Amino acid sequence: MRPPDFAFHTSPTLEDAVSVLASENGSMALAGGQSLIPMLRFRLVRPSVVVDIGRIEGLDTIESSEDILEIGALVTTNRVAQSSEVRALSPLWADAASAIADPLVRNLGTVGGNLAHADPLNDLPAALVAARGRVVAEGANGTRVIESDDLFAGPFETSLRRAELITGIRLPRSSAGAYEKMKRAAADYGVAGVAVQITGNGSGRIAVAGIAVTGGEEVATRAREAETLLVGSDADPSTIARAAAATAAAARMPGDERGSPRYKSELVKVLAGRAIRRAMERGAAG
Amino acid sequence: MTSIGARLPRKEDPRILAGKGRYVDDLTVPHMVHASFVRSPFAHADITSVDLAGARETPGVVASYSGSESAAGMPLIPTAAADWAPPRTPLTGDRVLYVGEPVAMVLASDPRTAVNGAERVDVDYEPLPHVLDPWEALSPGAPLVHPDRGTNKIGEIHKVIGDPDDAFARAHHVVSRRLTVQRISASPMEPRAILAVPEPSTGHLTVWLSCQGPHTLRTWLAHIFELDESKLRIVAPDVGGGFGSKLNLYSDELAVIWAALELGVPVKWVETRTENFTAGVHARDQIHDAELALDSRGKILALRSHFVGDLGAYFHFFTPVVPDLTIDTLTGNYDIPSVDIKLEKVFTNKMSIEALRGSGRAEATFVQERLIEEAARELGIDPVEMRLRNLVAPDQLPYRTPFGLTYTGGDYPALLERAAELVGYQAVRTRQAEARKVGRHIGVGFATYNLLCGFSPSGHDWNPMKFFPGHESTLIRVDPQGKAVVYSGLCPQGQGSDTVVAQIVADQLQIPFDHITVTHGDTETIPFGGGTHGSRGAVVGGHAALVAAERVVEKARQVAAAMLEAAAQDIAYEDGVFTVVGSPETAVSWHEVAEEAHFLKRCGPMFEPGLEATAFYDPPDVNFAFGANAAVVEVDTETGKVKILDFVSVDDYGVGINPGIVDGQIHGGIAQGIGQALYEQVSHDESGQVPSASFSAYLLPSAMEVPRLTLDNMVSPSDTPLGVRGVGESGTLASPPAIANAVADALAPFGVRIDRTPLRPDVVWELMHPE
Ligand SMILES: Cc1cc2nc3c(=O)[nH]c(=O)nc-3n(C[C@H](O)[C@H](O)[C@H](O)COP(=O)(O)OP(=O)(O)OC[C@H]3O[C@@H](n4cnc5c(N)ncnc54)[C@H](O)[C@@H]3O)c2cc1C
Repeated sequence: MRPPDFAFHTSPTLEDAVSVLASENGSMALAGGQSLIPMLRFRLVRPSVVVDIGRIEGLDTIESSEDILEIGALVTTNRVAQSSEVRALSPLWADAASAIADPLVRNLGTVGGNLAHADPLNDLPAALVAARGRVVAEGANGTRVIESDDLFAGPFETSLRRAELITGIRLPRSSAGAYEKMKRAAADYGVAGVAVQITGNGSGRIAVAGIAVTGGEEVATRAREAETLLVGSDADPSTIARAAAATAAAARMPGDERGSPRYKSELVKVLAGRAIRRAMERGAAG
Repeated sequence: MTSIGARLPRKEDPRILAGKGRYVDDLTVPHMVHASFVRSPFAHADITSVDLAGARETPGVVASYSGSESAAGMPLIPTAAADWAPPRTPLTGDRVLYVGEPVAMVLASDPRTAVNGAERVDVDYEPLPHVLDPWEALSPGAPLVHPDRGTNKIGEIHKVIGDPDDAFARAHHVVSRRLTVQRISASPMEPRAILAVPEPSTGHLTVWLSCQGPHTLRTWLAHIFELDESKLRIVAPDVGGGFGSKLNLYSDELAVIWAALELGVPVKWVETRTENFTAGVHARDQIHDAELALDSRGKILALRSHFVGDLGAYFHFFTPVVPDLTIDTLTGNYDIPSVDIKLEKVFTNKMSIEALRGSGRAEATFVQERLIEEAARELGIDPVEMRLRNLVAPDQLPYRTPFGLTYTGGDYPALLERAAELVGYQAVRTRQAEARKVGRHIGVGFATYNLLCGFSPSGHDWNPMKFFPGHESTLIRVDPQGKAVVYSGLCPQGQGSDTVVAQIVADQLQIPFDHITVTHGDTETIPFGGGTHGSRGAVVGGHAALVAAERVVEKARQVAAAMLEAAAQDIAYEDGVFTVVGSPETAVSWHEVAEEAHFLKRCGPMFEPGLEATAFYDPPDVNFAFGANAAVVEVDTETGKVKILDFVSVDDYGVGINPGIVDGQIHGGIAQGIGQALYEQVSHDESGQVPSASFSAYLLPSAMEVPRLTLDNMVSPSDTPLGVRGVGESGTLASPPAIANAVADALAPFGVRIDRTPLRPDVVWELMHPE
């Protein structure tokens, strides 16, 4: 690798990381490095200081309370994929993490990095949005909680402030979730993905639905109309078909090496249908 | 004691698997500087100025050169395969003809600093109209890649044999298709790498090069730089894959050598993956307008293909002859009496085409097997039956193809029938019918291949190349302990030929496999040889080892004769012991002979001391290997994704010296074929950029994409002493059409035409849902 010049700093604590990031203009945090290192290799970023946050303690736990599943920012995506707790309490997240690249990438990449990088092809943003999760961030001015709808500002852009780090995420527990992704090869980014999470009203109807798309022009396109279609319904096949079509209509899909907008749109429809059905099945079973 | 045929573990593996391989990038020499290149971002442009000032100011930069300043003092780069090559210097001075063409070079204390310097080189370009499509390149008024020539057409070959016009006129049925074999990249795991070490005091130059054959390149290097060949040394240390892409001396590599000679210091350059995708050679890229004339029973009367080979902007060593190989192999294993084949070769504003595992023949196999499959469908004949009606039958052997190739061995119908049996053809058909009822789409596809290989007898038509030996060399040196070092002219890039050569030598010398060390890839120590390419390792290199070993045994027999006071012709050698025929108690061991050969303690000067021999083996003819593949796929018609459910390969590679290595070669070849069928594509956008220039866009099949492969083989020994046939390339030929045929079969209910690869999900989906 032939990156541009940069200084390297390993932060022992969160406070140290925040203070170095705040004091050094152009500094960047390094977590699993699975996005930052390729960017450095292509010289797409030129940080003055790379601040390794990977050694900070206490950010790599998975914990749950009565209705919340909490995952630390430094938990690797492979741990999320393999965790039986996540599988039980947020199958959507277990699916999405398992769908990321290959074990080599998953073993290093972190939840915080995956979200903060805000790559429209990263899988966790859509999973966060569909689950209506929250992100906990720590910066020079203390801790704040960011709603999933407020995190992503555009491709590779978030509402995180300078020197603000994600420390963890909070996900509403739900067994009725699923992530469907189409990738051309195992280690490839997806062509498209659809995240679905549903909450029932206790009498066979849908009370809350979250649907978000990976691979659109935006990061995690939320399919609001599709959500509305599902709410109040019992997810009968025709409603699912309409919701799937509405999901495809919501996401503007770019044409590129992975396919034309027409193909990708159709794919989103197919994946949305599959994800809704699977989420419903799981909800019924759980 | 026979080692030939044994599935011995590879000698190479413990070192390489433990990360102890030594590649060019692992080498460090004092005062070494590192190169980085500035490359053209345009497909066609005039260079109006190059400003090196920024690079020269960059701390750590040692020197920088531009083509505009230095090209006049640089040599021209020739081609091996034609009398004329488009003129070109290592760095381009005035006009760039493809994206990735090197225009400037920066040398610095470390590779990263070299890139820092290269980033600060300012090049101004005046873009020119470019041409990327080969048909467009042939049409009047197209931008000219080499204006002096007045045309983009490089040349044309037209072979009409038999009476194709008559056959097409009286045919019961004609099937016609435009079939495209896309541009792909060899993608070796180790990209190109070079370290040029000049010794100004003596005028010597050593070049460490990731390559496939150092001797030829030494001759070329001497020729290009007008150097004394005896003062040049090329060493290929461990090489991490080549597949044909490392048979060359590239312009950027020559620039590195040029700079090392200019500065008198060692210069190293290891290419990046992006560079490998843009400035490393590409392959395939042919478009065929092909048709078959058939009688009512599906017997092929004639094959016509008028095709274009898009060769890119410049010639590398084999560029102008790669598509020629397609012509004479287009009939494959089929008995086709009449042919009309026309090839037009074209310049475009792209990187050059070169040899790549299966080159020329893979394109031919795709065209012939795709056409036959379509013919079967159109005539309503079962595709296996269709092939059986047309394959050359064993009783037709020796069979002379329309192109004058002579096939002597094998049973092509039996290979196909075995593949059909192993894939459970009838069961798959049943399964397919069941699956269709529930909306699932399974397909089965077949393809056969005939691999022309073992390049090439010197003076043979197949070897028109200047400075390209058809022979292979081996020197075997036995030490006083009786252990042998084998200096093989092969230059493996992972094939495992050290093991294969050791097995051949072990059987002749009758010494343990472990007592043999094989070395290769160094012009200083190895006799002049051809290197590793074109499935010639065992076929040519193996025989060189065999002959050298026979000569060593002959010499040992003379020593033993002296020791046993008998005539050499009365000495028998068996199980590592020399005896006098008829009196087995009068014996000396191999070890005793080896010691005596060096010290002459027992016999005195009755023979010339030493126990070694060299052989240069020039094969009497090219070689053929053949086989059949069967693929079962499932297509997700909603997403377009193709999944390979089963893959069978039945191969006839003659005698397998090491079945494990042979299987590995076939596995690797099929993996590359799967890549060609489903994943790989070098793409150019409208501006001539290469958006596929990274592994996130250029999809290479990984272990996750290659299914479990079922291999079987049949043995028809070749007419050579070892009975071997080539195998290195065989997997690449039939696998792409077998998979494409399976996809076509799966999608038959949709009336979809499969005319090109790769069959990526979006491609398959678009075929099913035309706009
Ligand atoms: C071959 C390959 C294939 C891939 N395929 C996929 C895929 O299919 N799906 C997918 O989702 N991802 C994929 N990825 C990306 C991968 O998941 C990355 O791990 C992820 O995008 C970034 O996580 P990281 O921990 O590696 O972050 P890093 O690379 O270390 O950092 C990425 C960015 O996030 C910032 N950052 C990191 N942690 C924090 C934090 N806690 N707070 C604030 N900012 C932070 C960094 O400063 C940097 O800007 C792939 C990567 C590779 C190399």
